[in-house]
Amino acid sequence: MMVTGKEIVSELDERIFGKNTLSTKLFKYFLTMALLMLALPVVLDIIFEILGIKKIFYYISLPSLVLILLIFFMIYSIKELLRPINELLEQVRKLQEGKLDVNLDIGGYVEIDSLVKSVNRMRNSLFIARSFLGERDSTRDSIWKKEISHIGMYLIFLTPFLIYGITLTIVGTVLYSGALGTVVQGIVPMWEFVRAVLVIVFGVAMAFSFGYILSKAIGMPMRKLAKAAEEASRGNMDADFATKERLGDIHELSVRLHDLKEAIRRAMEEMEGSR
Amino acid sequence: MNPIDLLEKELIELAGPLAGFVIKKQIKDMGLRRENFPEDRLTELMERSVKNAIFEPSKQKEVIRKLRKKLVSHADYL
Repeated sequence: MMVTGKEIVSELDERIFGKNTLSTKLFKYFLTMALLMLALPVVLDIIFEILGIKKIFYYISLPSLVLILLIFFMIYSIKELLRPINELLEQVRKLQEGKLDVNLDIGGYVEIDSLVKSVNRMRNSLFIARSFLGERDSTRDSIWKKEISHIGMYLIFLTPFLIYGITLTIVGTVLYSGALGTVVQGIVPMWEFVRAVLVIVFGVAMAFSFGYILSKAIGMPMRKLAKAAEEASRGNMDADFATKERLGDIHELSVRLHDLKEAIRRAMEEMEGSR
Repeated sequence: MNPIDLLEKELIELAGPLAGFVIKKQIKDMGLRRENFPEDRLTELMERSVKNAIFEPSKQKEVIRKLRKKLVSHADYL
């Protein structure tokens, strides 16, 4: 049997990181971010040294270069995490419009698989309700209102990057410009070592903030949502879909799933009553 | 566990809380009673219930196959 490179990588991935949960994905992004934060300044330092560019330009352009690369990485990782959520949201919207023939072939990580299973169970419940009670508008009462735009969401994620960039620019410019720089370098012994430590500390702190914000904004509400959806789809009509976090797509998904649960509850009550 | 209870449990797992209604209706449509349901008509009940509880036709076949196995092993166990 031929084993492909992709299979070897996914086997290794599973052995090192375990189950493909959202936390594992977040940890991988955090790790990549931390490594990038540590490696990029060093690599750029070497390139600037080879090219013979003055330190002042290095310190002014370093944060911009690092920031551009990291913002691309941030957008990529957020999009990757939200992609299956958006796909599922699209299918749940269709379900609410009364279309049962939706595509639930969506995967990504453990929490999404669990949500897809629950939505499938809810779809079957609606199918049963329809055959007992006939087609009706009971699922079209979404109370969803968009509460935060995508731009707002990206701005929240951007905050640690901006703090990092601004701090590095200020430190770099002050230290390598004019008399103040000379004074500071004279006062602080082993300045180059201190600078390296500062870059590492800032880098790790920023990667940590990024991981923390991702986990708070996507990880926690997704785990809560997956649990509530599973309970509701199994018949616990008191399952709580409320999320404090108002992150656009996840919030919309939770409101729509809550509406589906309510539609199933009404169908159940009607069916109980007509027995 | 009674085989109809087992069927109900499995269907609720796949189709949610309304699956119980489907089984009750199918038993009624077959003109039978749950308490003294004949064993030789269990497969028919299972197939009718799955077709009325699972939306996707491709999934229906898969579920029927799995439930048939479960009901057979359950009967062997009893």
